[in-house]
Amino acid sequence: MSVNMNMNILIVDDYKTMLRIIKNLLAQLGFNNVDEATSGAAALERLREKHYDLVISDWNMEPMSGFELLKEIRKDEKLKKMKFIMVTAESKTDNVIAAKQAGVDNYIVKPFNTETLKAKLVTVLGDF
Amino acid sequence: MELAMSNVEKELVSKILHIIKQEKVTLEEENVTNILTAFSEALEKRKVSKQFISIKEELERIERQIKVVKEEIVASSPDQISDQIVPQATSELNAVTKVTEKSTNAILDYAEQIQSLTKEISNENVLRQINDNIIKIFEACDFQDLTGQRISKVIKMLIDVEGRIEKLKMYSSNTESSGADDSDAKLMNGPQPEGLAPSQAQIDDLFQNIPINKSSNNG
Repeated sequence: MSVNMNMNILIVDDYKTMLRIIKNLLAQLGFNNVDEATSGAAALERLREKHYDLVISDWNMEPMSGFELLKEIRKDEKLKKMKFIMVTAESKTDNVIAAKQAGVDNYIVKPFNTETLKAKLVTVLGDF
Repeated sequence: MELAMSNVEKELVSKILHIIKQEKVTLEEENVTNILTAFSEALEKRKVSKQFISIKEELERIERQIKVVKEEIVASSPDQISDQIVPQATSELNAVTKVTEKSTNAILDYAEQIQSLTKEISNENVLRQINDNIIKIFEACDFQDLTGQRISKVIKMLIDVEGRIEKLKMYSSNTESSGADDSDAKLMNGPQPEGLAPSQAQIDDLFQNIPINKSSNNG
């Protein structure tokens, strides 16, 4: 199955520099339809207004963490099949287990490079 | 002959225990002194059991300890710590985050400008090398996110210390009300210390081997 490079991707992080970095790396890989949200709540709002194919989210945000955002998405009938990649500094075993059991599609620990991001996108979306 | 505790003594001890266990009552110096006064009055009136005397001695010891702790707390200038030192430290750390954010954005701006200029380059090899280096600049700039998270952790620790100092000042000996158990909050720890964080390969290994709950809503 070929990957639609025009897919809509939503990246979520409360650090704007991180959003900028991920957006640039995605552009390098050929994904240019990328929107940003700086909080879990803002992300949920965006997801309910527009169709997205993939969410890439940080974990450590307040008041709604990326983990809580994931759970909200999986509870929502319209959003529950959304692909979700966690990109986070949270690297403890408990975090990885909790995220997978909550339905995350893949898990990237910070700091990461473009190769890792590409590898995870291929795992979740297919070859491109 | 050793006397057993009389009913009067037992009643008095029971009242003391009730006071100590009561919620919101702190074992302050005044409470202990009042209890000891009651003991002394009882002692003057009649012979008492050894247990009664040892309870009195224990309370006297507690009274002395409270005095010492009080003096140590005053000597540590808790007001200065909570009103000046902690807020100042928090402010400095926030300033560090702002400065690193500003500088990181400047670096990214210049990297993007270089990127836009690469259209002018016809040499494929040079173009590829420049683009590769620009990507590395972007990847390296994630330091701002990670340092920011570590600084947030430190700020939270400082706020916690400030809270504990406030409690010491108030002398509360009660356990804190824990509020609702929030197991999700326990998952927010930020970056692990240097040398302890697993590699992406280790995370991938773990991720592959985690079974999915039947109840998960994975799409």
